[in-house]
Amino acid sequence: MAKDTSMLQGIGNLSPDANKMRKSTRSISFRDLKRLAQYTGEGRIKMVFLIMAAIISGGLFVVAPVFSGNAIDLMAGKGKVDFESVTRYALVLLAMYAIAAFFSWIVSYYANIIAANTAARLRGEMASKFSRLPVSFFDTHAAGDVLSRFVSDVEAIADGLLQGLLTMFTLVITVSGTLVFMLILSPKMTLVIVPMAAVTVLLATKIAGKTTKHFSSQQRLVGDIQATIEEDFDGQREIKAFGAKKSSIEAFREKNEKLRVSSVRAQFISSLPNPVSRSINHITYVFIGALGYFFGGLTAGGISTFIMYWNNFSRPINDLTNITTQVMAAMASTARVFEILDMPEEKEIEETADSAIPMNFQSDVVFSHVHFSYTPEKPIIRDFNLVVKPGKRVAIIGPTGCGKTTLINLLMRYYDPTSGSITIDGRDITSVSRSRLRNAFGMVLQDTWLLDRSVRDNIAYGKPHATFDEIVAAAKAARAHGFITRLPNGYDTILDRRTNLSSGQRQLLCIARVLIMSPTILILDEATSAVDTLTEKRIVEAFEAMMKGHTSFVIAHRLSTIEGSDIVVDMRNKTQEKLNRE
Amino acid sequence: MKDSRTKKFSQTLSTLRPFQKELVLGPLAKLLEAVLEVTLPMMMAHIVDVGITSHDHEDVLRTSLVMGVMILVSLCCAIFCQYCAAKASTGVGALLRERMFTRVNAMSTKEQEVIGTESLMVRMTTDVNQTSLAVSMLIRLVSRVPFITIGGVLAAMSIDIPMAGVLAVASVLFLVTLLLIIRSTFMQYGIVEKRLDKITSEVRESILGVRVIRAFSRNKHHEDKMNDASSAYKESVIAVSKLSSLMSPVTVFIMNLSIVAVIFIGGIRVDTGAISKGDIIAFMNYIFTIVTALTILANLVVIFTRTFVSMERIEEVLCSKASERDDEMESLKSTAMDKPVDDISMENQPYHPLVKFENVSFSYLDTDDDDTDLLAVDSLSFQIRKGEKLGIIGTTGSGKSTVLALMLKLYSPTSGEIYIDGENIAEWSEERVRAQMSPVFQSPRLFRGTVRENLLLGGISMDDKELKKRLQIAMAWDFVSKMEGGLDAKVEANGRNLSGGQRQRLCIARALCHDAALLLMDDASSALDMETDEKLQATLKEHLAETGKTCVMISARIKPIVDANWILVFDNGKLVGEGKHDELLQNCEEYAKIAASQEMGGV
Repeated sequence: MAKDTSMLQGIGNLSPDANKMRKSTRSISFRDLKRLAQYTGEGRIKMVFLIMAAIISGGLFVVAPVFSGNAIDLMAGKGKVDFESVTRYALVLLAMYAIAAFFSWIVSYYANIIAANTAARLRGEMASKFSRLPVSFFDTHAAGDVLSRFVSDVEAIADGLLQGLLTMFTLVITVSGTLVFMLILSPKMTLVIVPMAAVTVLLATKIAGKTTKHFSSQQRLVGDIQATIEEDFDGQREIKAFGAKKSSIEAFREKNEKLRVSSVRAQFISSLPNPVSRSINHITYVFIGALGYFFGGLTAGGISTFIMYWNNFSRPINDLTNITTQVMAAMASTARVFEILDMPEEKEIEETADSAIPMNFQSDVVFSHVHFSYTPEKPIIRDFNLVVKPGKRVAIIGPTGCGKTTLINLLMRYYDPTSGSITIDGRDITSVSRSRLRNAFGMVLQDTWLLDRSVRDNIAYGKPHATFDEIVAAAKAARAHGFITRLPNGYDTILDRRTNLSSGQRQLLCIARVLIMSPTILILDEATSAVDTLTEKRIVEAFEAMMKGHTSFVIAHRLSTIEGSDIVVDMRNKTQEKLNRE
Repeated sequence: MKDSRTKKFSQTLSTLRPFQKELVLGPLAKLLEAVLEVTLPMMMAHIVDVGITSHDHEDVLRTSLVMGVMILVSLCCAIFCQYCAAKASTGVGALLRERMFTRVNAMSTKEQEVIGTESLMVRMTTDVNQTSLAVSMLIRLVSRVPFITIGGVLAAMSIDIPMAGVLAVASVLFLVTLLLIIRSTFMQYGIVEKRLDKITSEVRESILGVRVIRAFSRNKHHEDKMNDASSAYKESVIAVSKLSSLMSPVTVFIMNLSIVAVIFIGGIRVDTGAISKGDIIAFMNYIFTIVTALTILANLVVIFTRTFVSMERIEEVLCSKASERDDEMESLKSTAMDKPVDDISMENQPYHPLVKFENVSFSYLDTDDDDTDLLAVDSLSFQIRKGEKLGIIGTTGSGKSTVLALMLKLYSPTSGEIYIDGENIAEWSEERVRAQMSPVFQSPRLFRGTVRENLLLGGISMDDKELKKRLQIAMAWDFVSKMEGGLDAKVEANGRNLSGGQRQRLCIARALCHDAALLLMDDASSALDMETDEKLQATLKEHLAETGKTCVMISARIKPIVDANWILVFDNGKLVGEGKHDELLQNCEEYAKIAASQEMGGV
């Protein structure tokens, strides 16, 4: 990306803000959850079905053990089995289990659909948010972070939602229903057993709490080691050339060992809840047997029923402890996603009668008393004044970081001036819609951003319905037709990593992309600094042809491109001297 | 089959060796736990049948106590096993990472390019984690699951054989169903993952291209593309969930079906007096235990299927050719440092070539045919003399940078020889070759750390005064001194917190700090503005004159090399002219063309 130092410094200064953004993810509010519920949207009917299905299947699972217990009690001993009743119970059980299975399938299927739809809706919302966010958002937020919110965080939300829906209702019904039945069966034993479950939950959550801490420290080390690996692999040339192989392996070893130690701890602790809760279950199991006998006055069938209840009761609670981490992660992700959705948007003017009057962009471009700073402490542009007559070429020069690109940012309304105004045709550029304004400009940057699609699509990027003739004409004007025809599939060649276009060729495509739009005003920002001079000559030729008769702004650190400009603006020391050559 | 597999993964599996103790003791402890766990229902049956039926308080109490002790012992076993698993699995992970890292660092540039950074990253993270997970699962579950399943069935058989038949049939049915569902969803998950990747690439595209997208007012188009990718993904998720949501209901149903069978058949068996009521309760318990174990087994199958793929990818790195020699790295490096090439014999022969290319050709591609179009450099012969400044000029893709890479032995010539001080560098170790040169590459790359650490890359040492001197030559002291912390100012990954020009200047300073006799500069000041560049060229010239260093300056522009003692002109991988500036203007067409293209800028 073509960025001025000034902008990079701006990012540096904004980083506390970014830190704030990261920190705020820790506070998870109930409001977020309520808001998330809105995104399940049309899933509401499905949700009702899901809850009903959960009640039915959960209820059946609660009742079933009574029948199996009764059946066992009917087997008094050798020759004393009431077959008729046992068979009846078995058949009833069979039917109950079959119905329960069907409804639990409905719960599971609907939960999947609701989660997938919610994820898609969130992504749709974010996608449209992206269109409305100001460019400054993308300048101040790491692409990787924004990307991971769009992809991984929404994924985590879907996972958490799915697990939540799958277990929540079933859990409430099974646990509460089971509790009631246990109370009916033997209140005394229930009072002994329920605290056991409480102990399990407490222990598990306590360990889980510890685990989160260890996992987050492990995660930090993982991030560190990934960065180290990436840096080492990408920087192999330097590492080899400066004999740094040994020291970089040493540094890696140190980090790797740190990670190992932390991982052992995190993994060990996180694997504890499972055996611990299993042991508690076993102990409870013995309790049920012994206590059932001593205090409960339970029959053998009663004990069997109670054991099955205990299974019904403890399993969802164990599941709950497993899911907690997932749900917590989902809540954290929800906060991160909403943070993006709540970012201030680019203010777009209302299309009033006034603003709808088309600007023809044919007369003077006037900067008057323009001030601008990315951060209040660091003014980039101070009281900048400039009048550009139609058809003139303005060259903007000066050392890196003096605000050359900033000027373009203001002209294209990627940013708006802190004070002062820019007018075209005597009208403030903020009085027309951004897209209207930008359509009048043709911009070529140093960064040759092209799509992974065909040459044809790339040239017609801004004019999707362009005819093939228009595309070829633009390519010819950009001096790109020649090399395009030599590509394996000509205009239909797909520009992916395998097509080895040189930076010069990519730049010519960018020029063709601009030419097809027949813009009124041209902007070239360091468009040739990445290419060698012979290629540059070709590009400059294309530029020259393009700029003829158009107002144009050219930023370049090589003087060659500046030759032939009408006005040279030297941005050095944040003061502007105009060398009017007219 | 098993043998060939073991052999196939020999490098990966060898990382298990240091953890033999954990690999044996862990599963053993787990086995003990499983034995105890399987015994519990039997004892429960005893309580129900003997204790309750005969009202033997003491027996019930005693049995309960024994069971309590067994549970405690099994808890200890489980915790010990978890510890073994954590230790061995993270240990294997760390060892794999270290070996891969070392291996990659020993590869030649060409060998590294074959695998690629992105792929290497995935292998060192995701694939290693997968393998590590498998080790942990192996220790934790490999003894437990079969034991519980088989032991459960055996214990059931000891109670009653026909009833055990129910268990066995249920187990098989359960496992087959699980595996069928898993297998049919496996492929679909592949599609799901691909579509998620598609979302990633669409979003990345619209983030990186935001300026151009806005310039062309194509926001809506990219929004739609992101939405399309997201909908396609959603469709695939829902498609796969049609099957995967069957998993739990169906398996639970099979489990419950076997409970019904136990009640029904159990009724018959109790009637004939073959078993007791307590036995039926024990059976039901076995069903729960076995089903839990089988669910784990099914997950294990998935994990191991994935792990085999990961292990193959790890093995590929560990077994790939790594041809950089690092034998006697230390001694060679130190002698090279002590005795730079400009020794006495050279002092007497000022025109003895320091570096000599003899008929060198090189192709980045590994092809056997002699298609010269594929050659990056073609039959190059030239010499670099001690103390001189050699300029190399040509358009992009003409092979300039390849010369530098070949000199540094980052690549070896496809044919031809390169000599340093009369010795063929094919005979030298990479370390020794590189100790002779300090390069500045075209794209400035810095590392996370401080300015000082970046300058002293590779662990050399130099005091602040000398560092400052070199930063001044590179025109970098001005901004470094203004940075918070000066020499110890923070440099972020890739030098993100610095501008392109600042990065380039630090890279030049880094090369100067390494003080080798040969300074190689590849378009090293392209991001500097005119003024700074001119100052830099002047201080650099002074430095070269002062130290008598030899300098190779690759440039796309004529200006930095106008004063070179000798200039090589490259076109399309071939040397098309050499000589001094004035001569080349006269008799080298390519050079004259380049000069003309830059003349127009008033250079």
